[in-house]
Order: sequence, then C-alpha cells, then structure tokens
Amino acid sequence: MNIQSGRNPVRRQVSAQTVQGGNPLSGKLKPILFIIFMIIAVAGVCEMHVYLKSGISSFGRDIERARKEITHIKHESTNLRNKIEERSQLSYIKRQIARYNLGLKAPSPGQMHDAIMLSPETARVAAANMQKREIARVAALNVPQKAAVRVEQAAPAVAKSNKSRVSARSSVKSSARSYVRRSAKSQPRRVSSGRRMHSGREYRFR
Amino acid sequence: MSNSGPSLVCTRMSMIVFALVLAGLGLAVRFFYIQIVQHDHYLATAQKIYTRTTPISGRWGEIFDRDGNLLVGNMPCVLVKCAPCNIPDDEKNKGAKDKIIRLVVKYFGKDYGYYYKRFEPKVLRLDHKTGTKKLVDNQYCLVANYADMQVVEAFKKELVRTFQTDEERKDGKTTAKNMPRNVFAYDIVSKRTYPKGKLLSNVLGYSNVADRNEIKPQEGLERRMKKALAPIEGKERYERALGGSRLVYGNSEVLKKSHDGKNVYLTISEPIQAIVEEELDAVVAEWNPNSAYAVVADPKTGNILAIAQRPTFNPNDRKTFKPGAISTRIAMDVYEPGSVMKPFVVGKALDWKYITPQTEFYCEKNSWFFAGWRLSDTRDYGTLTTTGVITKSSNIGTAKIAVMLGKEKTYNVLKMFGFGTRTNLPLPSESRGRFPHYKKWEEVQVSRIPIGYTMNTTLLQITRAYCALANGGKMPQLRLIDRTSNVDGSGEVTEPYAPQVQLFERKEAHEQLVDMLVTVTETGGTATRAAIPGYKVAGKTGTSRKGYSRKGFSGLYYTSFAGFVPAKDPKIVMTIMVDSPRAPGKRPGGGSVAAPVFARAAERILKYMNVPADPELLSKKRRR
Repeated sequence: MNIQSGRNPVRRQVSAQTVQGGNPLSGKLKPILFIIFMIIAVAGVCEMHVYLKSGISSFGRDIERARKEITHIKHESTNLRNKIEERSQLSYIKRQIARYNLGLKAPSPGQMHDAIMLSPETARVAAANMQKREIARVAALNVPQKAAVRVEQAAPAVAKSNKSRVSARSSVKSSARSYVRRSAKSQPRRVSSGRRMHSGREYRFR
Repeated sequence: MSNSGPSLVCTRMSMIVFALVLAGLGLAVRFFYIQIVQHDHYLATAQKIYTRTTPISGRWGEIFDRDGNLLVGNMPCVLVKCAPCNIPDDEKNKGAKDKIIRLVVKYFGKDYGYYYKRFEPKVLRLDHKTGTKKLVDNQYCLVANYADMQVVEAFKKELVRTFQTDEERKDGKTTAKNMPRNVFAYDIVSKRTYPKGKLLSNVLGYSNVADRNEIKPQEGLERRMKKALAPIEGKERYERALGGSRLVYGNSEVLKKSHDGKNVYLTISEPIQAIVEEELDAVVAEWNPNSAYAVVADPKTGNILAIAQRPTFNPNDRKTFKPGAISTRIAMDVYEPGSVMKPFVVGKALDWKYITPQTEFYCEKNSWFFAGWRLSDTRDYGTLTTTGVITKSSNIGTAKIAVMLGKEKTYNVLKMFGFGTRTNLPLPSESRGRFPHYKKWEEVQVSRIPIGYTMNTTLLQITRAYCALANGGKMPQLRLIDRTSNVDGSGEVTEPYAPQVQLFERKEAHEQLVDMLVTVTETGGTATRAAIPGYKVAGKTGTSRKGYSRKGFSGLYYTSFAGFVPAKDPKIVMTIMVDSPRAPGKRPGGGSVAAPVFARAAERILKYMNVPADPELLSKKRRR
C-alpha cells in the first residue's frame, strides 16, 4: 500500500524540509517575493514609460503652443509692416501735415543739398582748421570781420530776408537734411559747395 | 494495485502541453503572416487612419519699388465661422444668443436681424439621397471674411468677458466657465494688400481670391509676373490624433517641398511716382480730360522711375473698379503724337548734314500745299532757321526737311527711334502703334508723319525715343523690373540691361539738337511754361487734333510734352499726354496743359533727387 499516493511531490519536499528542521517561510517566500519584485519592476517600467510619454506630449503641446505664438507674432509683424507702409505714403503724410498744421513747405530751388555729418572729434578738428584758413583768407582780403550765420550755399533770396531765413531754418529743421554752421567768435565763414570737411569718420545722410 | 495514475497524469500533461505548443505555433505562424508577410498592407491601412496628407502652401511673392518700399504684399487675416447649433438656448444660458449676436454686429458690421436669421440652430437642407428637405443642425455660418487680426483678437477677448462671472473678472482670468463651447472657429487666411492705395495701381494690377486662399492675378504686373510670384505647393504627411489634430510627437514626412514665390523689385521710385500722380490729379482737376498719362525715366539706364495714368482705381476698394480705369491703358492706348515727333527727323537731318542750325526755310506764311493737301502752322511764319522751326514748332518747316530726306530715309529715322516697335515692358496688351512701311505711304504722308500725324504711337515709345535724345544719342531699352529675390532676400537676380544703340553719328549734331530743344522752353518758344528756375529744360510740345468726322473737327486735342532736364546732363526724361482737355475759357495746347505739369513735377523730382540748380539760372524770372 502506497500511503503517499496522490500527494504533491513539491509539498512532499517542503514537508520533508520541514521535517528535517529547516525555515518554512524562506522556502515559501522566495518565489512570492520574486513574483512581487517582478510585478513591481514591470509596473515601474510601465509607469516610467507612461511618465516619459506624458512628459513628451506635454513638451509637444508646449512646442505647439510656442509655434502658434511664433506664427501669430509673424502675422502681427506682417500686419504692422503693412500699416507702416500705408502710413509712409506721400498722401498720408500730407494729410497729417495739414491736420496738425505743421506749416511745412517745399524748399526753394537750390536750398536742398547733401550734408556730411561728422563725428564730434572730427568736426572739432575740421572747424579749427577751417577757422585758421578763413582767418588767413580774410586777413589777405582785408575784409571787416562780422558775425554771420550762413546756410551753406543758400539761395541769395533766402539769405536776404529774415522771413526766408526763418523759413529756411524751419524747413532745414523739419526736413533734417542739412545743418547750419555758425561761425564761432564773430568770424565770417564761407564754405564752398560740396567740400568735404575731413576724411576719417564721416557720416553721410540724406 | 498497478502504477497507472502517474502515467495517466503524464499523458494528460503531455497532451495539454502538446495542444498548447500547437496553439502557440499556430499563433506564431499567424503573427508571422500578419507582421511580416502582410506588413505593407496593414501599414498602409493603418496609416490611412492615423495619418493625414495635407498640402503646404508657400507665400506669394511681393512687389517692391527699387528702394524696398512695399507696393503689393500679403496680409494675414481671419475667416470667422460660427456653428449656430452649438449656441446654447436653455434656461441656464438664456440670452447667450442675443449677447453673441450683439457682439458680432459690434465687431463685424451688418445688423442684428441679419445675424439673427443666420444663427438659427436648425436649417432645412436637401437630402440628396431621398430628394426631400430635412431639418438639420446648422453647423456652419460665415461671420466675417478677411477680418483684421486685431479686430478678431478684440472680439475674442470681449466674448470671454461677456460670459465671465464677476469673480472671474476680478481674478483677471482669461477664460469663462459659462462660455459656450465650439461656437466660433477662426481660420488664418491670406489676401493681397496694396498699402499705397491707388499709387501705381494700373501697372501693378489686382488679384482675386478663390477658394479662401487661392490668389488669382487678374491684371497688370501681378498677372504678367505670375510665374515668378506664385509659390510652389508642397505636401506633408503627419500622424494625427483621434480628433484629427496633429500629434506633436508623431512622425511627419515632407512628401514634396514647398517653395515661396519670389519677391519682385521694380525700377519705380515710390516718392517720384507719388509726385507724378499728384500732378496728374491736379491737371485732371483743372482740365477735366478723358485721360492723362505720364512717364518718368532715367535716360542713362532706361529705368522707369514713375508711370502713371488717370483714370485709375484703388485695388483695396472694389467700388472703384470702373471699366476704363482698371486696365493698363498707358501701354494699350495709341494716339497721334503731333509735334513731339519733330526733333527726330530734324536731328537726323542735322546728323547727316542735310541741314545746319542756321539753314533757312520759307514757311509759306501758314499755307503750303503738298501732294494736293494743305498744311498750315499756328502762325504766319515767313522764313525760319532750323532752330526756329523747332522753337516755333513749324509744321511746314519740318515737313520741308522731311521731304528733303525723302520717304525711305524719313521712315528709317523714325524706325531707328523705335516707333512701330513695342518696348517689351512686362505690361499686358502693349500696343505696337501704327507705323506703316514707307512703301505703303501715300504721297502726302512724308510731310505728315514727321509732324506726328497719320501714325499712332504709345507714350512709352515716345519716352524711349526721348531717352535716346537725352542719353547722348544712345537709345536704352526701357526697364520696369529691376531684380527678383527669394522671400528671405537671398538669391537676388538682377534683370540684365540691354545693349544701347548709338543713333547719332556726330556728337555735334546731337548737341545742336539739344540746344534747339532748350530754346523751346525759353522766351519765344512754345513751352515757356515748362521752364524750371535754375535748370535748363530741353523738350517739345505736341498738340494734335483729335476725332475728324463727317461733321468736321471735334474740337478736341491730344496735348503732350516730352522733355528732359537738366539739358546737358539729363537726370530724368518725362513725357506727359493729356487726352481731350476741356476748360471753359481756356485754350488747350501742349504748352498750356502738359508743359506746366512737366515743370511742377520735374522741379519736385529734381529736389528729391538732390540735383543742384545753376545759381545763375536761378535768378532768372520764372514764368508759368
């Protein structure tokens, strides 16, 4: 008669171990712990995967938002550029001049000319040199020295009347295309047309 | 008892294992079939579901003047759509529809009733399958087409504020809990804009927009330069989410790359164009003509600095689109030019030494019969020198010079100066004019064609010919397109300059001709009103009769002036033509209508170009 028939061999082994005096828990817990550890590991990997994916999609949404923002700003910038172009046309500027009564008028013939803008140091040196030359020239001519404010190469009509000098100044100021050079220390100064002041740092503007 | 139990178990276990292995094998084979063998098929099917292929449209190129001022551009704007079926109409959201309609009316115009009808939640739609009408949800209503982006932003903000509670407003939130969802949709579209309004509109043309975003050029340069301006469409495939939106971390593939259109830079200078158009407006206001045209060109390069015509239109405002105003008539319209033609035959006669500036011609006291036809002058001139023929614009004197040259030489002279030949500017439907071969001329035409009758030409051909006179006898080809470039400024390609043809054999003859043309604008000439203080102006007036019928002469004229300034080193050539000027109590003529326009416009242009005046000439009295 087989008294062990129908019994699980594994259980027999465990029982045998138990009979032999070993720890029943370590034998039972090992596989369970292993399984638990595997479950946790797999869950952890899945969780990491989900976390990373959601992070990526969150970044993606931020990128998409930033792209939309950039596109929106580009569109705004295009519209602003169009508005600038609309407001820089002559008819619009004339309407604004009339609206604000700025009193600008077209310059007289020969009044407009290119001026060369110099850096402050260059201008000082050039002015000093020109002054020396003028003094020498005037001395040679024996011309009485008078204080004068002259616009370079102004039309005779402009230099004669106060009214036209004021209007010349206002149109010079408002158009900002030339500048008036005042003679320093009551020395008459005459500068010939188109003469460049000094080489070095010169800035030409229109 | 025998040991049958374990062997039975083993057998059963073996059978189960065998069945499991078999099932596993079956699955593996199936997986192999699906994943490997049928891979392409299932991938394509899946891609159809989770990917979308969309066209990528590029930007249309823009048109600028030579200095980069925008003349034709693209303007992003918003298409505002509404789904009225999503406007809530329950007790909780009572008044939502009313609020929405009032807001829409405030920002997008029209009236309350218009939108009330269109915002019905249900509409009758025809069911194409059954042929009956059914009441369905109204899912689409166009609210605003090409709305300004700023206006739409303001609308969106106010819409949110309308549905916010007081608490939400206090907290400064940008959303509203009670805001109806999915009511409005906003699509960014692009339309053509013309920021300078009617400036150069006849040359630039206009475009229509089809299918919300497709630009279709209709007239002018936009149509002629369509190939350069139009973008090349591309295709992109991307992965999409369930709702159809793009998966940002998904794969995308550009199937075909799109290219933006090229930017086109003209030779036009916007400030000069504005000056010319202002002066044309002034002459139209004064003389009420049928039309008026003006062209300004740089004689040394042939670059057109301004080209204007009246009537005109504003491409931003469709109400100004009238039949005679939208086409490029300055290239299409031909006319008998009159006396502006005289310098060419006289100049070449000087060049070939047929005559000198002092050669005298008897002008028959205002009545000369040639080939059975009478020719007259404006006054009874007796004897005039060649210079006097030009100064006084004597028809008889000029005709005698042409008769001296003969038919063939006269024809060759005018052919040499480009008459009867198109200027080949990129303007649609440019006319060649009518300049028949000399073998087809009647006997009298040798005396008429040199004075600008019995032949037709366009103002562009006159401008080109006068550029030759201004450029030391070398004729440039007119240019309107200066360069093209990519949208980002790279890849700039300059249009080539055609070689210039020297038409005068002797420099002295050319100088003599220019001196004669200067006398036209001085005291005793026909165009004293073209004179500009401080500058020597060389030019010629033209007054040709228009419209002979059975009733006789209509009393209308083509009045023109063609000239260049300063005479010795010309910076600009300007030609003006005014068709049928009418003013009660005033006698129209080239010297009274077109010449003052030249003087006013040229003076302003010279100041803009900073061409210095001659101080000696400045002191001379100006007579306008």
